[in-house]
Amino acid sequence: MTTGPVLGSLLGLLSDPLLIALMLAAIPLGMAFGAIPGLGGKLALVLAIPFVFGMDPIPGAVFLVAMHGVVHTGGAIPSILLGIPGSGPDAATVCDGHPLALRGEAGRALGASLAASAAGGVIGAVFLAVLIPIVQPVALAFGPAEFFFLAVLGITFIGAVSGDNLLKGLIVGSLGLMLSFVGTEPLAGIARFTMGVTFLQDGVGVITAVLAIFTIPETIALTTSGGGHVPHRPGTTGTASLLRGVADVWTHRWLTLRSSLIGSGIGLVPGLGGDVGSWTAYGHAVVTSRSPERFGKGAIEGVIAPDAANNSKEGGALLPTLFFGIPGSSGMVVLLGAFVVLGIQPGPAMLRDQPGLVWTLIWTLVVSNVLAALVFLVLGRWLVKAIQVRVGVLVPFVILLTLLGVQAAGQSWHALVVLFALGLLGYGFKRADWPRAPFAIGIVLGPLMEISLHQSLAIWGPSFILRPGALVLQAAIAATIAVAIRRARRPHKGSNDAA
Amino acid sequence: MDGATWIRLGVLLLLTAVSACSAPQAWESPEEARAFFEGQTLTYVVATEPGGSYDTYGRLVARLLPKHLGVARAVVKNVPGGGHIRGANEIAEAPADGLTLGTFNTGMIQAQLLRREGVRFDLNHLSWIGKAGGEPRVLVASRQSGVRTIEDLRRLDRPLVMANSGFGNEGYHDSLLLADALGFDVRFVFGLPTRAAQLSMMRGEVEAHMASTSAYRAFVRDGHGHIVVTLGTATALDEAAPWASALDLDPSTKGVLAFQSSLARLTRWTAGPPGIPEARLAVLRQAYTATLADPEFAASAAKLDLPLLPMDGATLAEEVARALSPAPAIRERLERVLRREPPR
Amino acid sequence: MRLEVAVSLSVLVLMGAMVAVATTYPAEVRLVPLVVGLPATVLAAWQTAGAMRRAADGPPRDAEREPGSERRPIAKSFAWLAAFITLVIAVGFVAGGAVAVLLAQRFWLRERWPVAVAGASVAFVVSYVVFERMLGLVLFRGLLVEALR
Repeated sequence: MTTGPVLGSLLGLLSDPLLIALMLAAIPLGMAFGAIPGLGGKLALVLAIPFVFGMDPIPGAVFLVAMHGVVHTGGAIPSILLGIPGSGPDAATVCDGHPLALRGEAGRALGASLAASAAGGVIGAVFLAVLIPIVQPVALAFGPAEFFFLAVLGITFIGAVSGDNLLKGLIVGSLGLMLSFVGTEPLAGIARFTMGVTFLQDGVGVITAVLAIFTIPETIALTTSGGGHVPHRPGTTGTASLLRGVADVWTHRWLTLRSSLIGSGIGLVPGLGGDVGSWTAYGHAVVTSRSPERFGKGAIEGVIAPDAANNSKEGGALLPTLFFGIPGSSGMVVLLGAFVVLGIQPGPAMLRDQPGLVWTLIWTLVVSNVLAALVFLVLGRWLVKAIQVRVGVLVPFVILLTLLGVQAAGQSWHALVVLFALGLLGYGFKRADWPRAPFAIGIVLGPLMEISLHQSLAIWGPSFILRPGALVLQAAIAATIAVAIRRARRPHKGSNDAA
Repeated sequence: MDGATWIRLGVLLLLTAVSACSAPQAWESPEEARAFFEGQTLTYVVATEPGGSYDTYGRLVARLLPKHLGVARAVVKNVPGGGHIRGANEIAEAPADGLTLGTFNTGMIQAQLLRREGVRFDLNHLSWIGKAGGEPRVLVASRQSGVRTIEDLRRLDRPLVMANSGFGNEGYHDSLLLADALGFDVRFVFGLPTRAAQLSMMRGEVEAHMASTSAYRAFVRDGHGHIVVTLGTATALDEAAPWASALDLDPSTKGVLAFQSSLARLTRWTAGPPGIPEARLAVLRQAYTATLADPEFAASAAKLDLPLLPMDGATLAEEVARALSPAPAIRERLERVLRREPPR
Repeated sequence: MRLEVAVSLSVLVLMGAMVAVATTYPAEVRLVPLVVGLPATVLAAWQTAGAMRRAADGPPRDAEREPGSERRPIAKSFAWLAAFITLVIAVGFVAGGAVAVLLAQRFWLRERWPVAVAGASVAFVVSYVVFERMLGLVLFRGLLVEALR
């Protein structure tokens, strides 16, 4: 590959005022859609399509990719400050990001988030560039058998994120799995666990469940603690604390790299979805940490890992989208439609026929992630100040945004009742020291695990476990279980309220 | 007349007057109906998540309909779930003032005929506005499957492994009815919408899939699969692939395939709840037809690779009524074939 | 300790009920729920038994308190949350959300009237201006409003 189109497209991107202006317009839009609960990148793209009708291909594509690429950068903001995940994949950031904010280190958490997001986005773009020649065999290597064991691997992280509470973590994780089975079963069209309630035929909803188990308990705890403000430590809210968080990403650079590669790899495989990436990275961070008992209480790695994975997945997901015309995620389905509107025909010939466009999109991911981090750095101080209002002013808005998040995610009003009921349970978990991260892992991975198991059995029968990719993943599962059991047997290190 | 009779007459007149006043739109003139829509907000319900083909068609209609109807704006409301049943219910139960329309798939015809769980609509009574799509549906077999013709299907001594997104959708009905008509058996692998089904075919996991023509244009062109048979009555992707309607089959089987082909012609329809006043319904139908005829609509649809085969609301209503009263032999066949447990 | 027992028992009852219902489904539909639910129910039963034993053995353990702070009752907070949700369900996000914010700030969290009114205005702007007008999302109008239509 010559360097001509590679460097030429970077120069073209940075020297074109229109492209810079479009990126600067797209970045806050993408971050806003990520930050407002329930909206997300897919809706941002759907609403942006009418605006790109009639644009030239490159400016239109730059606008869309820049917007979509920074959605999770924005999604981390409410996750950390308010405990409200912007979307399903941002829920992993809540586990440690929000406790950091509650003990007065919101600035540090935001700084780590923005730097990890930027690093992840850049690494994802590099991943995209490097893998272009081998995208087809890699994307085709993963089928239902591999998906099933990937889901099981993710579920075994339940043990890792449960800390010393392995028994409770397994129970909570299983409850998340069971709740993921509520709804119309796809094989026979039978409604399961719906108790005759029509609305439950569509399931509990990941956003509803995550908001109920994480956000509601934290919000109620704020109102019952008696304090007038969200706690903060003097001197931890200015630019210095933000930069401390940025420095944390450099301190944990290998974790950042590994999490970014996990996110990119998962984005590359069509059908896995963003939730899998962030929780896998989070679980990986716990498993590989020397002091896993800190997770769930404000471990900075618990912010770095999922945020790096969330942004790097965009680069990975662009690969099958651009070169196959096969979207790597539901957001990519919309992006693909938008590309067609712009006159861009994704397919294997793209690199040969339109190298300039391909490299421009790769550089757009890099530049937009860096610019988003700078925007975030400037806004960070004011964002942190925003949660220093009185609890009495803050809490009703947190509740309203939570309810709006459920509605914006496409759920009917009945979901608000489910939100309340699960919120009660979530509060019970919090007060009784039960880990809550396993619940999110269960509800996110349950459907993937079940459908890929049935697909594998339908295609290969029980012999699907002997497929090469499946065997590799089974070895990884065994190793993860061994680590979790060994840690559970270590002497207790005091009270544990892992999220 | 005696006093009692006068009283009864008076009460009757009073009731008539009250009814007339409480339903003024029943007496609306066309001008009044058109004026009603001025400055209003119309809600367009799409029975899927954002981003798929139903959503794309729906958003295109919502973008250009205000120009021809006079409403201030049309807002898309996504109501996914239940295989389009939830969205169809929402449309059917909306207020009948003409400000709520929407789209869902033709699988709701079978859902109603087979009395599927959760159905609260009656398609006979919906206010049909028109339809935009109608491209044929194709049975595509992967290159690895070795199946190229109907004879290959009939010669299989095992079930054909077919991809499908879920139980009870259009592809599911088409696949089962085609298999029954042409004499081969089917085993479904569920949870595979079109893109995933294509990947699965390329990996050699599943052998075939039933979907719309435009979804498979690139796949077939790139040599990953072949069209074995086409269901529908419009322009074919592959002129060499036989039309199901042209096959030499017994009359009863031909009848079922003709029924299914007629449904394939009705896709991407727009409907409103029952009881929209006549004058407003006429205005809506005119505006919808004008929207589809708008050059901007055609240009956008072409850009998005969305085939356009318009039909006006009145004709659509007749077609739907016909589809909902199939001949007893066809109904019996639908019950027998579509009610069975998903083959494994 | 009593909270531990309550949570353990709630999870056990929920899990057990789901497993019992799952046994009524056809084979391939009940497979994965039973594979997950049966062992989890056993674990939940073990956890519940352990929690009950600890509650019987040891003195009740108070929940952690921040030194020097008063605590508002939890039941009151959940009652207000329920009221908030009920208002939104009854009259929709735009009207219900604004009224709920007003009432919550004034009567639950004891903010002054100007703050509560300002809060309600912001809630209205967020729901109607941002979500409905700018983003084009049709928010739920409320059961009462829909019944009247």
